Parts: sequence; C-alpha cells; structure tokens
Amino acid sequence: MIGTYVTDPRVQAFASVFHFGCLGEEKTQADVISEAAKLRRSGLNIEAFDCEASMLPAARDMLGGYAKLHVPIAYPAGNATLKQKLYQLEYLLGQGIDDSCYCLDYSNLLEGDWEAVTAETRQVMDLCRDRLPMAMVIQATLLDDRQIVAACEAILQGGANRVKMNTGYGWGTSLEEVDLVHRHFNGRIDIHPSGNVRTLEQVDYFLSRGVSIVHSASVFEIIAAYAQRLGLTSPAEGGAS
Amino acid sequence: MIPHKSIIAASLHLEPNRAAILRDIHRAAARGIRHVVVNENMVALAMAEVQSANLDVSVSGIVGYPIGQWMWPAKKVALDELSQIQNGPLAVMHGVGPWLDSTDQSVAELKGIADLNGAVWVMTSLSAIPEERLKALADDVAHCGAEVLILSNGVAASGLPLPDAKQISALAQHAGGRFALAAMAPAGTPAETIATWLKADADTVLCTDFWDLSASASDTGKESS
Repeated sequence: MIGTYVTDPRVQAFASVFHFGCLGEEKTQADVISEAAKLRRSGLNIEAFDCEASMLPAARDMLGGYAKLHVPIAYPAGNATLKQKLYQLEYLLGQGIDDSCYCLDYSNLLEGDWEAVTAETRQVMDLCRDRLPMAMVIQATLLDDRQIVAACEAILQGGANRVKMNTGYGWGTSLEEVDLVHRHFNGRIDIHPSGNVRTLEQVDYFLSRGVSIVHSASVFEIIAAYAQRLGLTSPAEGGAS
Repeated sequence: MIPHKSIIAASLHLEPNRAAILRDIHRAAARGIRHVVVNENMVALAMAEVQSANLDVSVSGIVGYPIGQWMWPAKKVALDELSQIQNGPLAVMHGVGPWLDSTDQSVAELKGIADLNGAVWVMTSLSAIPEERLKALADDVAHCGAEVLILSNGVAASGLPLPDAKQISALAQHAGGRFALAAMAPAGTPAETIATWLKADADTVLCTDFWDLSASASDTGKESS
C-alpha cells in the first residue's frame, strides 16, 4: 500500500532523484510489467524506470509516459564487443528512450588502459551527444581508489560528464567511493550511485555530496522512511509495497 | 579427476583478466581440452594467442553472457563479427526470462539461431525453468539446431542455483540425443558435484577450474602440445 504522503511536494521532490527498475537474467516480461505497474500505482514522481531493451515495449505500454525510460547498454558486465555495444546504442537512439548508461569494457579499466577508456567513451558520446543523456559505468567495486579517479578522468576526456559507479546486480556503491569522486572532481562530473542502496541514511549521504541520481531497488521503502522522518506517517504505516 | 574429453574449458570473467585468459588457453591445450569459451569481447585476444602459439584449441565467445537479455539483432551483430574471428562454434546466451514468457523477442531469437550457418551452442539457465517446461525447452533447442545446450548458473547475484543432477537427468531425457548438454561449473564447484552431473547424463561440463579438476592429457593417452 502506498501512503497518502505522495501528495506532499517534499516527498515528490525527494522521489525525483531515484531510478527504479527490473533487470536480470531471470526477469520475465510479466515481472517487468508488474514492477512498472507498482511504480505507476505508487503515484511517486521518480526519475526513471530501468529495464532491458528487450523489455522496452512492455515497460512503455505499462508506464505510458508516467516515468522516463532508462535502458542500459551491455549490462551488467560490459563484455559485449564494441561493435555490438554501438549497435545497442543506435537501436536505443532509434527507440527514443529518455536515459541510458553504458557499461565500459572493464578489462581496460582494470588494466589501466585509460586511452582505450577515453576512446570508447568518445565513440559513445559522439553518437549520443544532445540526443540521449548517458552515464558511463566504471564498476568501481572492481577498482582501487587511483583507478576510480583515473577512470573518471578518462571518461571526462572522452566527453562524458556522468559516471554510474556500479551496475548493481551484486556490485554495490560505497559511501567512500562517492566521497572519493566528489572530492576529486567536485561538480565536474555527475555521480550516479547504484547497487546496494537500501537505506535513507545512504541516500542522505549521497545527496550531501551533490548526487542527483540514485539507483535503488528499495526506492519505496526509502521514500516511506523519508515520509516518516517528515512526520507524515507513523512507523506502523511507514512501509510501502 | 574429470576426463579431459568431458570438459569444455571456461575462461569467463566478470572481473576481466586478460592474463588469466591467455593462461587458460595454454592450460586447455596442455590438458588436451578441445574447446575454450570466453567472453565475447575477449575472442580476439584468445584467438591471437591460439594462432601465435599454434595451439590446437577452439575458441568460442558466448554472446550475451551473463544475462542473455540483449536484443537479438544486437547479438546477431556480435555473432557475425565473431564468426570471422573465432575458430569454435558460435555460442549465444538466450535469456531465460523472455523464454519463460515466450515473448516475441525470444521467439525471434530462436528463429534467428536456427538460421545461423555452422555449429551453434546455446546457453540458458536451467534452474529458473520449472520441470513442466523442460520438454518445451528441449524442443525449442532442438528446433533451432543447437549442437550443445549449456546450462548456465548465470550470475551468482541473480540467486539462481546451479542445476542439480535431477534437473539435468530430466532434461537429458527430453533432449533424447538431439543435442548435447553441458553443465556449467563455476569456480569452486567440487569434482564430486561435477561427477553427479555427468552421471546424470550431462555430456560435458563447462568448467572454470578445469586445470585443477582434469586429468592431464598424457594420463589419458593424448600428448599435450
């Protein structure tokens, strides 16, 4: 049940930082429709709904413009051939989606081949600049601090200014990783935490570091906790499903 | 020890490691293992090593791994590209979610696989498929002409377990010899578990720990290269 707090503008403003979605190996079309319907029923003004390209028609039908549609490229491991990745991007541009992220070739990140990271980023940004907001996924969990900073510098050199820290799906973003990027780049790059974002406290921390987009499978619970903090609900009625 | 003829070597990495792939190519050759599968973006690297070291190993990149939910036309781009590079069968992961729903995407992909030239291996996640759908899976795989069905464990984070011997045995009966079954054994899978899969009529095992778990080629009468 979704609380009446959805009518509060503070709640809606808070909700607008979130991405929520349905992605994964075993996810069926019925799962995607169910999750999209849940979002629509919620009345929450979240930023975007995330799904695979193969599920785009089903999500679009169910949401009917209710939320932006975000489709990742080469999710979650970035291990498609470059040719295939760029084909995926061209396809999504043709579909008129609202937002995307691009999983870089993680082997280049791990091996410190920053020129390759920049080159891949540049190819992507040349295609989607002014057409599609794009975040580059660096899978920060796999990297040490120096690699994270170098990866962000490399994607900036390639013309991107949004970094998605992880894909989720077992790879989670830590507060320290967000702090690191915020400290080094301080507004030059949009930071999108993703993965293992489960609590209001985590989101508070991210927002304090200038984060404007948060990916979370726990969006309803986090927003309910926020409404409770505002005194709009009691603990007993704070949950949402 | 698992006989080398029952093993397809897996060098699939969610944390990519080029050095490990090159090592695995040489180790597979040394063990007399014929096939090695890698991530699709590592095929060029693996093939360059096979050719420069003149190794008797076939390499296949699994297109769509580890989730299999990318669009078929995109997968086809990669399959066409890899067919010009690799020396092993084409291999593609079919998303189990869309298959369970019989979506248009899934149907189109199976038809597209049937239209491919040459040997094709298909991968999907058996443990997500209820027993009453196993015959349909076997029929679909047979109709698309796949030589091998790889039973993926998927990504650990998806929560899907490894297929058990009972599931493999049931699927093998439905397959009826129309295609071979390869059970996927990620790192850390005990030899005893693999043995139960082979006993349950898996034809081969797609094995990450193949170096530790396989008998050497010389032990089985085949010279290593």
